Amino acid sequence: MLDQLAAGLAEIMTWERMGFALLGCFLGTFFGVMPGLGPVTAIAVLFPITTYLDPLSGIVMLAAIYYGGMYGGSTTAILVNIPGEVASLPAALEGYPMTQRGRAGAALAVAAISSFTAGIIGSLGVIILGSSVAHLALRFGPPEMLGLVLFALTAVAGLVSGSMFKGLSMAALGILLSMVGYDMISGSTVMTGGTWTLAQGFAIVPVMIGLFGIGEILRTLTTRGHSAKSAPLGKLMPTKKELKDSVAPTARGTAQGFSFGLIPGMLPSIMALLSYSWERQRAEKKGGSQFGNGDIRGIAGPEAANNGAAMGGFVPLLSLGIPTGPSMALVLGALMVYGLTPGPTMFTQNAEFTSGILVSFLVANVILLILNLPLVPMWARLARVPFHVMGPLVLILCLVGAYLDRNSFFDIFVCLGAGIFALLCHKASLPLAPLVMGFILGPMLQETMRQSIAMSGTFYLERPIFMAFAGVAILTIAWSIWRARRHTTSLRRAEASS
Amino acid sequence: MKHLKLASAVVAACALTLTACGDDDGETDYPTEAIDLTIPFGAGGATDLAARAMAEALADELGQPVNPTNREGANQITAVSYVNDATADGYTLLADGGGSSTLQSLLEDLPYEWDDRTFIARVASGSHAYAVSANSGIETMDDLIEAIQEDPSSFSIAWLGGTSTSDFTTLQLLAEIDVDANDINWVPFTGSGDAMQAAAAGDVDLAVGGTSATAALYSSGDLIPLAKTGEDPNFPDVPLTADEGFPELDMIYWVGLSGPADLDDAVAEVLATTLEGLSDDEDLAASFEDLGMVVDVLTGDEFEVYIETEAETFAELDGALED
Repeated sequence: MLDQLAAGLAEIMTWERMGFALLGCFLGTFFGVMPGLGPVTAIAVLFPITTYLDPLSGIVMLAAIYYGGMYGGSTTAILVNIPGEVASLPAALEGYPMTQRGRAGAALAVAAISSFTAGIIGSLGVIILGSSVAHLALRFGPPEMLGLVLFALTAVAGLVSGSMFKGLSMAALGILLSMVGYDMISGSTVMTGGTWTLAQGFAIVPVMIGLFGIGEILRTLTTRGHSAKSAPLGKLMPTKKELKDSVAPTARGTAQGFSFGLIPGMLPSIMALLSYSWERQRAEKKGGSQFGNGDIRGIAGPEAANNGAAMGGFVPLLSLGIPTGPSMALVLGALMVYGLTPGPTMFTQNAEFTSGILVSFLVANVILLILNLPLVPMWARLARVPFHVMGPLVLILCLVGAYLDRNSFFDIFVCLGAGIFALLCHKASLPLAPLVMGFILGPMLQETMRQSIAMSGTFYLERPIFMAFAGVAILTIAWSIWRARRHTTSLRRAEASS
Repeated sequence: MKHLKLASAVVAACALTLTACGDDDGETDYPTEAIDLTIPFGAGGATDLAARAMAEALADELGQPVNPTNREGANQITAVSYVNDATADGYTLLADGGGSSTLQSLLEDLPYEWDDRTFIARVASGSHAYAVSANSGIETMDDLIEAIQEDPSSFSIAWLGGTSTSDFTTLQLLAEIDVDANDINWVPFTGSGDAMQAAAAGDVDLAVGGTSATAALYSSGDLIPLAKTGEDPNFPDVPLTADEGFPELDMIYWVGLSGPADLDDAVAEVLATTLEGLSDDEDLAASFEDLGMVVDVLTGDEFEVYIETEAETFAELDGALED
């Protein structure tokens, strides 16, 4: 295994390939920083260029673009509260409040460091595991996936600190919204009111940019006084305490992300939300939680989980050709174009090439860390630009991002609508994160449920993995309801008045 | 939208004034600017990559950039509407296929007539494979047919919502062996990749999809493609349906080019001739081969007839289903 690594390293460490990696990191970061353009778009758009290179250089550049896109996405989320992709949502939830407190630098640095850690450990994990656990992926049929989705939905409990009822209602609303459009399974239109515009359905990126980016602008505009002033510029790098607080969440996020990432369907973005939920619950139990007001643990954990899951996903992808999400599907397409069919041979006959790929992830992570840390002061200064300059700029960025996701004008209106909706939710103190969670899990819930029932009317009795996940899900929900009820009477009063 | 239309109108007007001078000989200097190629699905899938390969080859030949734009959603209807409504100047074209044309002939209340467009060319095609789990005990097409006929209601097959040629490849088999499609235990999936994974795991008894969708799980020994419906050089060991005694099982999927209904004949001609010239292009053949497809150019009347026949075949097979 070590010689594999060494061989891979030797392949990558040429001036030419390092140059492509650096270029890829720059291009990827550029795409990632633009809201609406994430790693997936970056790869899709830049992919044709890489086909002119030899396969390994092409993959090196793609890996760099992919990671650049992921790092860049967190930057926009932290600085201007626009999560350009679901995985950056925790970075917006906790990072943006930190920016307002003048801790943007710390948030950016911790995001980069924890992504980096998970990326490095994850790459090593893929090399060590090889194809040995790949067949785990085949154990996860529709019923098991259904169990996993139910389990993931329980994360709602940790996405809100207040009323569980409000959280679940928002998640249900998210599921409903995700169903609007053309239903591929039945071939009919759902909740479209007969218009073909709505048959496109809602895409998550414009909805999320609207909820958070536009929502924040509207909030600033409607609150008179101090909130429109620019954020102070505090100490740029993380304090000792902030770093110390990030260590454990990063370790947990990496481990959770990587192990769940081995399962197909467990998207890195879902893992980021799960990790956020778990870290928040843990912090609240221990006391001293700053969650919701900029807690560094809510950045460290999810950033690591996202990157860890992305790495774990390479095990089923490389050995069985099973993509665990859209970006993995894109990498699969890239491999096909290079004439490589994923399969067990990727770790035997093509081992050199595979270790080349994995080493290129390591290299991309190192380059991005070196690239991003010195950039932190520059980005952080952006947060000081006054609102009358920054506001219109962010608004334009949001709308352009919403349009670019599917090249659709409809999405611009969706984005604006979501922004207004977010403002109303804020006034009614309804949490938005569960809505996003429901939105991404909704289609999976629907699909796996239909599949499981079609496979067998009594699937829930036949599949032990499903039973385990469903059991844990029910217990978690029951426990959080019980905890919420016991918590305070004031909570109950708030619930009654809403 | 309005601004875009206005802009297109201005561009078209300019183009008209320009061409007006040299119009006597019926020639066109098309293309003089970048062409927008609308791809009706999201970025990254095998069909998206195929459309992009086509765009690249076209750009090389025409000497103008061909920019692929993904407009996904609403079962490809959004993209087709977009191109239908665009100015018919040849600068907005559609990366067409069965799913965005002939399969739509089966849809009710489509916002346009499915064949109300200019079909320019089919560029490449790919074949399908019937695949089962390596642990299923099924090793040949005959084994498969026997298993289906024995008890159709307990035989589960992956179904992609009737929006894919893969589903019609399955229906073709059922029609061929006289099994009522309504008796089958259909399990819904949204993509052939997921369906193949379920077949390999034994969660469904049969999955049908493009040959390339079976590649990885075939090489890992979990999935057996029993037969392929057409040539695919990547799978020399998988027998052709014709060799197994079923020449009627010949469903292919294709990628091609179309434009708005009133596209100028001269422009369509330029594009068709250019694509015909790519029939023997080795680079293009190589890029399609990696995607499990072969260059398979068809233009003019032959292509029109092909489209009609395909729509008829789909309608006939679809008639076997109750809902």
